Amino acid sequence: MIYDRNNLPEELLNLPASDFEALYQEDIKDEKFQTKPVGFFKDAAIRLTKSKVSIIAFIIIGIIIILAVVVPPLSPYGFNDQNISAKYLPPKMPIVEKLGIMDGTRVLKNRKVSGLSDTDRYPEGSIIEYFNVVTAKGQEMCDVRVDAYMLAGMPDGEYHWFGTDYLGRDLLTRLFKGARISLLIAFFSVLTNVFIGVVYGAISGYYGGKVDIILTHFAEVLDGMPYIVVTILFMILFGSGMVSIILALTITGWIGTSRLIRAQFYRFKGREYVLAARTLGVPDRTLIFRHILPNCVGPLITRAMIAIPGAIFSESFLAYLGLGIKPPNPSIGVLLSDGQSVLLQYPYQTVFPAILISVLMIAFNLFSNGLRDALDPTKRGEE
Amino acid sequence: MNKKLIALLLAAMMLLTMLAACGKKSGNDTTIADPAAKKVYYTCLGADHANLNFQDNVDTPSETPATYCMCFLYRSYPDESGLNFHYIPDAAAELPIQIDEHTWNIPLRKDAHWNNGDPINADTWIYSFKTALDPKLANRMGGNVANNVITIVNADSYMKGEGATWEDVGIKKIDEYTIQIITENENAQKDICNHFYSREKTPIYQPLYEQCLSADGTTTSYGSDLDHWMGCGPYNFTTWDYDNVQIYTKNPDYWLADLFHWDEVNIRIVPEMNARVELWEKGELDDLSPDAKTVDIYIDDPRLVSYGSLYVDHIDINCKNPNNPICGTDAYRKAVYHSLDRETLAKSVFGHMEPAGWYVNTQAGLLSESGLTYRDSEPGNRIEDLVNSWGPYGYNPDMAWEYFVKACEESNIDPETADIEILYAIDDNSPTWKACAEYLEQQWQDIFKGHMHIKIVTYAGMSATDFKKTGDDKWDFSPNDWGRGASRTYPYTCFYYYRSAYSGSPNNYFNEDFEEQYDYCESIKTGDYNTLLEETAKLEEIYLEHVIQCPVFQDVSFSMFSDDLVLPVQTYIPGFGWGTVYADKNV
Amino acid sequence: MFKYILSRIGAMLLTLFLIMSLSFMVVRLMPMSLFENPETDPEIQRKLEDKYHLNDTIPVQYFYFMKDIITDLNFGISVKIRPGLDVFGILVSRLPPTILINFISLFISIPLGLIFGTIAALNRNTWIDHVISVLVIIFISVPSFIFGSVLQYTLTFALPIFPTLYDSQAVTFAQKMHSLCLPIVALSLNPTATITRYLRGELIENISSEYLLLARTKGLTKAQAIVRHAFRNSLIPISNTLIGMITGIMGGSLVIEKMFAIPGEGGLLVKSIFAGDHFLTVAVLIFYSAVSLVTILIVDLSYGIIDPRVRVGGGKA
Repeated sequence: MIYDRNNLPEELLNLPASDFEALYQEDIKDEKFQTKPVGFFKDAAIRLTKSKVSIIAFIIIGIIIILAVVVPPLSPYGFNDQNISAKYLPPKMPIVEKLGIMDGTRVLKNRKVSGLSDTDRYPEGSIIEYFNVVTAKGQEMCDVRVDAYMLAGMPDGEYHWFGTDYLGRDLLTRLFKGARISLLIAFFSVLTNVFIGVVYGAISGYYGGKVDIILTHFAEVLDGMPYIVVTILFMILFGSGMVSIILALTITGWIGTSRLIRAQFYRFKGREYVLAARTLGVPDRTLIFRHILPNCVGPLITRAMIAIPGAIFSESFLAYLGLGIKPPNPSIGVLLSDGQSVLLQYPYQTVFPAILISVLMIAFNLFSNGLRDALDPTKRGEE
Repeated sequence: MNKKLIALLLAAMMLLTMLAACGKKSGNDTTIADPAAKKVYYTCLGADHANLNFQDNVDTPSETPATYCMCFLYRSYPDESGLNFHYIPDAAAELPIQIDEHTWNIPLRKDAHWNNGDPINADTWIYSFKTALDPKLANRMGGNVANNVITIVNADSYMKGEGATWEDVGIKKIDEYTIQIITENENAQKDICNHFYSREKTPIYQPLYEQCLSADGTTTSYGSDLDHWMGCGPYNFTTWDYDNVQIYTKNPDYWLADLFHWDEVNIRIVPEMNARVELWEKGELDDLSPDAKTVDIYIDDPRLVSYGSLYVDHIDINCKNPNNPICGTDAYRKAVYHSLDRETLAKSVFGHMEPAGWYVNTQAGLLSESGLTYRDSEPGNRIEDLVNSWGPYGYNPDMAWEYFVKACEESNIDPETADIEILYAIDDNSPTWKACAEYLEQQWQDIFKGHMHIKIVTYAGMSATDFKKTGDDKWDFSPNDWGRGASRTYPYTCFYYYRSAYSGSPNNYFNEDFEEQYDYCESIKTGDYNTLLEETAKLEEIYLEHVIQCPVFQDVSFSMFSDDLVLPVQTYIPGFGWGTVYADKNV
Repeated sequence: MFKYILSRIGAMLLTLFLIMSLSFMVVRLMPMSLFENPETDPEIQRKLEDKYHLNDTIPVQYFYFMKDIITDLNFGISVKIRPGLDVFGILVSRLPPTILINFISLFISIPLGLIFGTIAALNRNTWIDHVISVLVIIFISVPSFIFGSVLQYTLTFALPIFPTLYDSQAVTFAQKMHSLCLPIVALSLNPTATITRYLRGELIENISSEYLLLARTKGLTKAQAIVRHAFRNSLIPISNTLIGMITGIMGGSLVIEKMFAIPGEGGLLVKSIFAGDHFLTVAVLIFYSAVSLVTILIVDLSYGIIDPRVRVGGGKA
């Protein structure tokens, strides 16, 4: 039966509410979210922890940082404790020494066979074996494998895991002290770069117009200067040392950051919420730092992480050119360049710092790759 | 179109890559085809010479091309015995002839000639010496022509433009083949020969030199490369690839060609010691001079020979640092002197050097009439005994502390609360001095109980002398940059740089007694040798009394020669060396 | 387009001018006396300094300096390294080994990087890709001088396949390459890895894009589609990495040249800095700057050719 909508019968028009009954007794609200809302950083953290490589890299960085903090104070040797009679000792590590490597022995080439019995030169028991006996100019010559620790008159149980340097200083301690200094240089130079870059980029991006044009052109001109040239010039002028290295790495280092920030500001400064805040009379400073800048944090962190291995590299590069930090402080670069000069005689002097810097650089690169993927807003919520 | 361009670019790159890869492979097969009959002397140098203008070039690497490619008036040659040497006429016809006390005639060889055949005669030599002394050119080695072993009359005055004209200078042409030298003092015949056997007294080729002279006569490009230079010696300079290789080939037309046995001399420029050792180990070098770090490898090698050099290395002390309250006192300088453990420094930090608590080196006096060195003489020994009475080579931490306390008291500072920072300035490029600074920094913490400590400062891009000029407040210590070796004839001359009369003084502490004594030594230098030794000892005593600078070690040099090499000498001859230029090779 | 090129060149010249002024200032502000031999008489010393304009005021010196460079490429005269020789001439004479190692490194690494990048992208997530990825991260991270050290120790000393020193007397290209092989390898590892990584990333993105699907549906084979479309589109962002690569190689060659005793510009720079030969230092620094600026210019311009959007945009987006 069909009713005309406008002419409904009276009884149908005045149905009492009590005639109606809910079909379901339970609440008919929408189902509640089972999960909590995920914030940007939480999301990033979740995605970062899903990448095994990033976690491993993070752990490695963590271990190196912890070692750099812990090793120098805990080591039985100070980083500048010298023992001149124990210079250039080869590495000796407990347990590992049983395997025949890092056992504190060294092969001395071209020694007189007749001299081997001289206990002043070779204390009893220090000669392990000799071989390759040849006669040259009427002298019997041979190669000798000696226990370098005994030869130097070191007491038993003395272990320099990574050996010692030209003044008998423990290389392990120096290496991690050096890592600490290199990392500090890297962190501080990146921090300075980020700071300058953010301020410069924010001003340039927020105000736009003439200010922007001038600032951008200035940065562009500065950016054209090869950083090697600028850094070297700076180091020559101000001399070597930690502060001048940090400053030298800052001269052109901030430009990338400022460019990034500027682009972000251009993207966000026209957004409605910014306009709303401005209409409410929020001052520029608050707008810049409270409302716009937080949007740039993700890319900023990624950039800073990527810049760290670059700074570590630059430091050791400068040390190679003889523009490193001041002795007696070590840095990875200083140790490397010291080792390079005795590479043939004592290769282990180069090996350990080389391994450390390589591992550190690889770890930082892997971690910053992971971080970049994790903080990339376009990939947000994937998986 | 774009597509093609990219494809083309890619193809070109691929081709290049392949070429390069092929190149590497085939490179292996085409190793040096050895010319069996040729006698080639392979050696290396740490640095190349900057140019071939021997009158101006102050760097020692320029010795090499001068030795191989130039003729001298006289050159030294080893005796039959191989234990000594004498002078032989080279471009001169015979040894100098004494006319009177101050006048010597040098007859010239008639067949001497340049590599292009032009004759070398009295005019050539006169022109060369005149150019060397030219006041407008201001050649940096000119002073050595005027005054080195002998002093030529008025030459210095002419060079400095102090009135003397060329006619007054004691260098004259007698005839086409004789020149005459007039000296200020009386000299022995061998002094004359010795004076003229050095690179700044080699001839220059006039036509070319005049071409190279700038219009105002102040600069010359003579010798800047092989095209602007002419040789006249036992070897022709055939290849000069700057900073890489020098090749000399035998000049058969040279008048003394019989004395020289190499067909070719091949000198590589290898700044890194490691690379030199590598080459030596591979048998690509005929000799090697290991440095203190590498000598450890060869210490037992029967081929290794060592000999003392002319230098005692030392630390200069600044007495005018405004930030150092005690720097002006003698006690402070003595504290520094006694705080150096020279034995450890020389043997371990610098490596295989001889510790020295004094400043006159072991070679000084070796070429004197009696051959007695100052260090072996009684007065010299007396000073050594004095030094050793303080402690081994003057090292005595207790005395160092006492003198430090004294220095503080003299400067009205309480030594117990003092905290004095000493700036030790080192060149970044010198690893041994860096090690020394680090070692002292550590040592001082014990010796001066933290009341005086070392801070190491580095400089790059300038010499120590330049650095010191940047300000008295920038440094307290600095390793020696200008070592003045005592002459082998006159032991006292090593103190030359430390007088106020000397304009380029490396330090700023001067002492009147010291200077008087120096002048006194100078005035009696040609007199009785034993008296001179005695006066030198007095000079050294004053030097130690005031610690004018701080001696550390006697420099020792090391050499190794391959078994094939036949040296003309039995042993190192001071003043002559190993004579590798006259050496031969068993093929 | 013309305006775009002009503005780029203008910016480049401005930068170069700035670098020149800066290097002049830095080098001149350093306390120094060019002829510090204490044996020299002060009078002679003064004459020497007159000879080289060194006693004039700094602005006057600056004026002479700039005028000489701009009018006739005269960078001055070397005073320490090769006294009396024209600085520009020294610079040119040291060019061959530097050009050889720098450019060969670059020209090897570009095709190699492209090849490895393509292989990795096509075999995504297979063992090949993984191996390449691991190598890439190692070669990108580890500094070239570490590789230099390793190569030098193993291949010239422990296992002497290559000569210890650069052989400038080598006549044939093959011999030259033999003595330059190790430095070139040490220098090209990093750029090769950089290109590989970028290309792999770009290709993977492009392979999964819709236009490639369209190309496939159009009837192209996978290989054709990738080479014609994906590959070309991937090249654009890669050309941007060239700038960093070239400056990276040049910087690396500073240390590598020192390590292998190659008589090139890098060694010259280090040497002149330590010798205090300031005219020479300035000239080498300007040379380095000019090379990198020209590179940037070329890349910028080629960007304009490859990617029309840039050309039209001209000014700032």
